[in-house]
Amino acid sequence: MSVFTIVAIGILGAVLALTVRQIRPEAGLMIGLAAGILVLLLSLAEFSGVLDALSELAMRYGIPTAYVGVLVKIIGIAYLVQFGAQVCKDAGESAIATRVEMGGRILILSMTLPAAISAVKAAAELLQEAAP
Amino acid sequence: MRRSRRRCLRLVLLLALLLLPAAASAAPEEDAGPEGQAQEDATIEEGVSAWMTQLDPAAWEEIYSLLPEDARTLWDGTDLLSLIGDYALSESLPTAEGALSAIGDQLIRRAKQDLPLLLTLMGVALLSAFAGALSGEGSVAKTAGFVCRCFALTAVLAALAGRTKLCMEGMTALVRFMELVLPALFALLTAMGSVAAVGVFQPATALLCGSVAACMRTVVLPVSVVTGVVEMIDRLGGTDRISGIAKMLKKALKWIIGAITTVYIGVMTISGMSSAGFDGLSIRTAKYAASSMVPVVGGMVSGSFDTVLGCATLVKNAVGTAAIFLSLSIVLLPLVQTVALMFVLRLAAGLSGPVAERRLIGIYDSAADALQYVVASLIAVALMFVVTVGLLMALTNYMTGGG
Repeated sequence: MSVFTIVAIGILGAVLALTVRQIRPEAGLMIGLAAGILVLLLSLAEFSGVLDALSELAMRYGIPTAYVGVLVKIIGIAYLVQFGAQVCKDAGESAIATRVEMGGRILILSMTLPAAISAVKAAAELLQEAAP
Repeated sequence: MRRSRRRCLRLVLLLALLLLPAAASAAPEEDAGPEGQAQEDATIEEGVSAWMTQLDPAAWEEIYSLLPEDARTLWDGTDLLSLIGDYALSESLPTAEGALSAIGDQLIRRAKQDLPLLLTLMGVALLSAFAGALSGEGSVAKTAGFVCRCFALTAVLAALAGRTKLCMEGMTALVRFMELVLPALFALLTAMGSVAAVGVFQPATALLCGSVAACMRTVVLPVSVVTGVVEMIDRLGGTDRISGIAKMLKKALKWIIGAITTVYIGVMTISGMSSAGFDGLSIRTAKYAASSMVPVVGGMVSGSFDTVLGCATLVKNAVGTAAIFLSLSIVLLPLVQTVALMFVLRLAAGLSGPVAERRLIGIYDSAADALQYVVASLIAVALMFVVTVGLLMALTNYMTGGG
C-alpha cells in the first residue's frame, strides 16, 4: 500500500537528513526537500482519484465543473504554499516563508473573488427585480 | 206548558249535539307531477336567460382575454358567459375534492421540475464537506467553505429571482382583473336594485385595487425579498451581524400583512351589514306597493316580482362565483410554483444537515423564509378580493333573507 511507501520515505528521509546535516548542513536540507517532494508526488497520484470522484459528483448533481475546479485549485495552492513555507522555515528563512504564505493568500483571494462577485451580482439583480 | 216547551227544546238540542256531528276532512294536496316540475324549471331557466342579457359580453370577453396564459389553460377555452349561465342553474360547479386533487397534482409536478435545483444544492453541500475534509482546520478550510457558500447563494438567488418575478406578475394580473370585474359586478347589482350596497362597497373596492394592492406590490413584496437577501448575505459572511435587521423586517412584514387584511375585512363586513338592510327594505316596500295598490292583478304582480328577483339573485351569485374562481386561477400557478420551491429549499436544508455547515443550511432556510412572505402577500390580496365578492353576493341575497 502507498501509505507504507509514504511513511517509509518520510522516515528514511528524516534519518538521512539528520545524519548528513552533521557533516554538511546544506546537503541535509536538500535530502529533506527531496523526501518531501517524493511524498507529495506519491500523494498526488492518490489525489487524482479524489478529483475523479469530485467531478463525478459535480456531473451527477448538476454543479458546474468550474466550481469544482476553483475549489481544487484553492486546496492545491494551500498545500503547496504550506509545503514551500515549511521548507523555508527548515532552512532558517522564516521571512521568506512568511512571504510565500502571503503570496499563497493573494492567489487564493484572486481565485475566490469571481465566486463572491457573481453571488453579489445575483443578489443585486434580484433586488432590482423586486424593487425597480 | 212553558216549562215543558223549554224541556223539549233542551232535549232536541242535546240530541242534535250528540247525534249529528261528522268527522272533518280536508281535500288531498294536488300533486304537480313531473310536468309541473319541468314547467317550474323552464320558468327559472327563462328568468336566468333574461337576466344574462344584462351582462355585457364584450366586457366579459375582455376580462377573459386579459387573464395570464397559464390561467387560461386551466379554463381550457371555456366560454365565460355560458359558464356563468351553468353556475346560475347549479351546473358544472367544481367540487372541493376535484379542486384539491388538481392543486395537489400541480404541486407535485412543479416540485419535480425543481428536483435539479435540489440536487445542485445538495451537491454543493457535499462538495463543501469534501473541501472541508481536504483542507483540515484553519484559514484554507474557511476559504473553501466561503467559496461553496458563494456557489450555493448564486444558485438559490437565481431560483428566487424567477419565482419572485412570477408572484409579482401574478399580483399585477390579479389587480388588473379586480379593476375590470368589480365595475361589471357593480353594474349588474345596480340593475338589480342593490343601489345602497354598490354605494357602500364601491369605495372599499377602490381602496383594495388602489392602496392595498399598491402597498403589497411596492412595500411588502420588495421588503420580503430584501429581508431574504440581507439574511443570506449575512450567512455568507458568517458573522451574524446584520441578522437582527432581517428579524426586525420579518416581524414588520407579519404585522403589515395581518393588519391590512384584518382591518380591510372588518371594515367591509361592518359596512356591508348596514347597506343590506336598506336595499332589502326598499325591495319589500316596492312589493307591498305593487300588491296593495295595483287593483285586480296586484297579487300576481307581487308574485312574479319574487320570481324575477330570484332569477336575478341566481345570476348575480353565479357571476360572483365565476369571478372568485377566475381570480383563484390567476394566483394558483404562481403560488404552487413558489410553494414547490419553498418545499425544495427546506428539503435541501434538511437533507444537507448531516454533512454541510450551519451557515450553508442557513442560506437555504433564509431563502425559504423570504418566499414565505411573498406567498403570504399574494394570498392576502386574493383573500381580500374573495371575501369582498363573497360579502357582496351574500349581503344582496334579499330573496334568501340576506337583506
